[in-house]
Amino acid sequence: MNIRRMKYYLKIGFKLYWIRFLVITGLLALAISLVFLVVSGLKAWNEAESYLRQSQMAVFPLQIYMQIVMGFIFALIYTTLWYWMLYKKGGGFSQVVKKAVGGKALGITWNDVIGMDEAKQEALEIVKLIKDRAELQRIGGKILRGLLMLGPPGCGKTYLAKAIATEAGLPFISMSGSEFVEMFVGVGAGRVRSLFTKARMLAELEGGCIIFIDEIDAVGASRSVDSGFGGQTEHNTTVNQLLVEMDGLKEKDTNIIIIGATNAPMSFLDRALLRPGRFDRKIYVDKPNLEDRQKLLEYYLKKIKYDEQDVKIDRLARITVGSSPADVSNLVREAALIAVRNKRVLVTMQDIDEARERIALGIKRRIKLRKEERLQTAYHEAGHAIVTYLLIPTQDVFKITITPRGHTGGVTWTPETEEIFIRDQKQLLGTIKTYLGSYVAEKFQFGMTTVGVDTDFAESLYIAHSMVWRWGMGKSGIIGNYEELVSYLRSSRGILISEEVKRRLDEDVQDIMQTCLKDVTRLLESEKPLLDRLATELVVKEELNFDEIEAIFKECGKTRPVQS
Amino acid sequence: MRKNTASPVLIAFLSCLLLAGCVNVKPTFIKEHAAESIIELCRKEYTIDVKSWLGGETVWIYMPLPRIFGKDLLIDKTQLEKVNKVMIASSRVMLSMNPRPQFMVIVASDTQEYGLDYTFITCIADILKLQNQFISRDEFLRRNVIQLDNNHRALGDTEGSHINKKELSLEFFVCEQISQRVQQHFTNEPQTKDKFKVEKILSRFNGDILKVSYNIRLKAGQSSAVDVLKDVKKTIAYVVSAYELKNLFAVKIENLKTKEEFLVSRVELRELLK
Repeated sequence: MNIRRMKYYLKIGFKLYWIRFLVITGLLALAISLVFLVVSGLKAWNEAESYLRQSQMAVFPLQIYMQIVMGFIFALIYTTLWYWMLYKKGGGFSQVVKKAVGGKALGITWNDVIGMDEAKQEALEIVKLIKDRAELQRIGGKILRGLLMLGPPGCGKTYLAKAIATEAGLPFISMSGSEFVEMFVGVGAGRVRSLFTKARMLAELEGGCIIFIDEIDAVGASRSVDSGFGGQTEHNTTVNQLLVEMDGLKEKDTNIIIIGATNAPMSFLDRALLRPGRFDRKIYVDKPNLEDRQKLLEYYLKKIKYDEQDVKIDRLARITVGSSPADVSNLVREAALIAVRNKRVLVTMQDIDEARERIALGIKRRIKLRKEERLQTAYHEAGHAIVTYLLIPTQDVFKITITPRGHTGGVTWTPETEEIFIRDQKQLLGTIKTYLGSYVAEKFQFGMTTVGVDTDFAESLYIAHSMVWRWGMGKSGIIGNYEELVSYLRSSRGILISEEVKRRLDEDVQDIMQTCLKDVTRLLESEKPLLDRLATELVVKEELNFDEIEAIFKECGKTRPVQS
Repeated sequence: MRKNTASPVLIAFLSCLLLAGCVNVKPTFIKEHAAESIIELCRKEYTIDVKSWLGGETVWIYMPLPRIFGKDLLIDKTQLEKVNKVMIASSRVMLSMNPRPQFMVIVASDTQEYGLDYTFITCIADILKLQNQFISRDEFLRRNVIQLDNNHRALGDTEGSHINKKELSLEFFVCEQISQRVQQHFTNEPQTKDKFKVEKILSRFNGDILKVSYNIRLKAGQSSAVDVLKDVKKTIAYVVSAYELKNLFAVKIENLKTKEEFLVSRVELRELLK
């Protein structure tokens, strides 16, 4: 073998096994240097004078002793640190350290779940299925695997899940979707495996187990192709593992029920997760209706001392349209705080109104508007108030203020008086008009407008745009959901809407805006004295409440239109 | 049953390590050959030729130097450096020796110009204390007794035949150090140096009584709150305690100027150090 060939082999060998080469070379260097140091150390030791040797020997035991002590201390610190990292902090990166809570220990019964009768009914059935599992298997019925709870935040999904666990009397492991997410690839999947292993063991021991995954959209969102940074791969792996584990339950035949909860739309979740055999049941936990709100208010007010003569629960239920159970709870809590601040023994309706206002409008800001700004804001808000009062019978003009709150300079608070589930064209146009009221009022009074119309324009234009592009409410008669088509267009990269259609749709949008503008202009022209009166009153008082507003309208001979 | 042999081995190993401090290291130099060792070390490592003798508990080292003092009568730095090197070499020998002599005397003589003997008397125990950092370098230097004597017999003496190589006693060393310290206290300390003049200071043992006579006067036109007697007593107390003189019964202090005498017991000396 000639030298050139040997060099070639060495080069190839190094390329293939360069780590081994480096490690061996490093170890050799260490060994040689150690031998060298030991030899030279011994030589120096032998040559050293006895006093130096004796000095060294004298401190040697102390050094050894200190090193042993330090070694123990470091070992203790290291062990504690690793133990904490692996078993305490996050159960290791791929372990789940969530402790299961006994179902009974949760102590939340059906009676504690207020309202949401349909969801409760569904949940009750599920509890029965969990309990009568053996019977179901005997007749060959399909075992329930998963339950998905959908709905807006604060509506009691977690509460309902806890109630299911209590009623079923099974161990309950509660996790949040985000707890599966970590920056390291494979950790999410590891945690899913760890969670299900734990649940299986508990199921075998206790006869069943409920896994509750809150905000499941964090872990169960649709899989897609990774964009190159690895994050999507990690997510896909986690979802895959979740799918496998949920399917795997069938073979193992363990009584594990997975309850998932999310505020996100169902379409956001991976389709494979939603198929029967995984999340078999879907429960929609919606915001409470009038009756439910009444029950909720009764439930929460029972926990505080309130003036039963003054606080009318039925009225309160009517004016808290759109509130979730969490909102209701918050309202009562806030009212209690205000009552304490006002040195009252019982919570009164005034406290509750104040709490509503504080929650809805935010705390007053300390900035002081200039005189011109105050006048502009007064006309702006008065415009909103008049249009709402005269055109929208389903909304109360509850309060008008020109005191800056939150991010606004002034607010007209118009809460819904009743629930509207499906909005029609007339209602939509009415809403656009209320938004445009501010613009028209400013224009009338000052011949110019302010930047205050920014949000009003954005909201009204969005409604007009949706009316035309999504709901076929345009003048030209074009129908179809073009908005949805645009999203398809992005993925197909094709042209699905012609420029001509787009132009006509845009014309229809502007037509709606202009028609509404004309209507509002006509209305406010005819109600100019009322506009001036309301604005003047606002400038003087800064805030007008419901009774004051009603009084001004009545004084000007105006009454609310009757709801058709 | 299988025995676990690891633990006893580990315990034995650690015990050996911990007991390593008790190991008796064989001394590099032996007392009988102290003089030869010093001569060899000085020549081998510092290329300085010295003469050395061991007389009882005292090692004598003689350094014939042609010119210790320059024309300005200040010590020549190069020669002083040589003295330091010999001091280091002889200290090394003394430290690595067991048993050790009690005193080491280095006599550096001007053999060519003036005929002077520059003598350093060091207690070997002080070298050990310095090495083990029980005393500072300054304190070590203060403990060395340094004498400068005019001795015409030094001229041309390269063998050290003119020096009286007697064996020194601890009492002699303590007396010399007390005299030197009192002298230094009143001539070097900032609060006394310009105000006092030490006319005479003499220390000697008379049986078990240490007699210290002094004549320290205030310079003309100077005033001071310093209590001379008290300072002298303190200096004596410090030296006596530093060398743990067991045969000392009391100290008699005599003011030569006023002819006053004070007898100070060991208990009083201890009290002065508190």
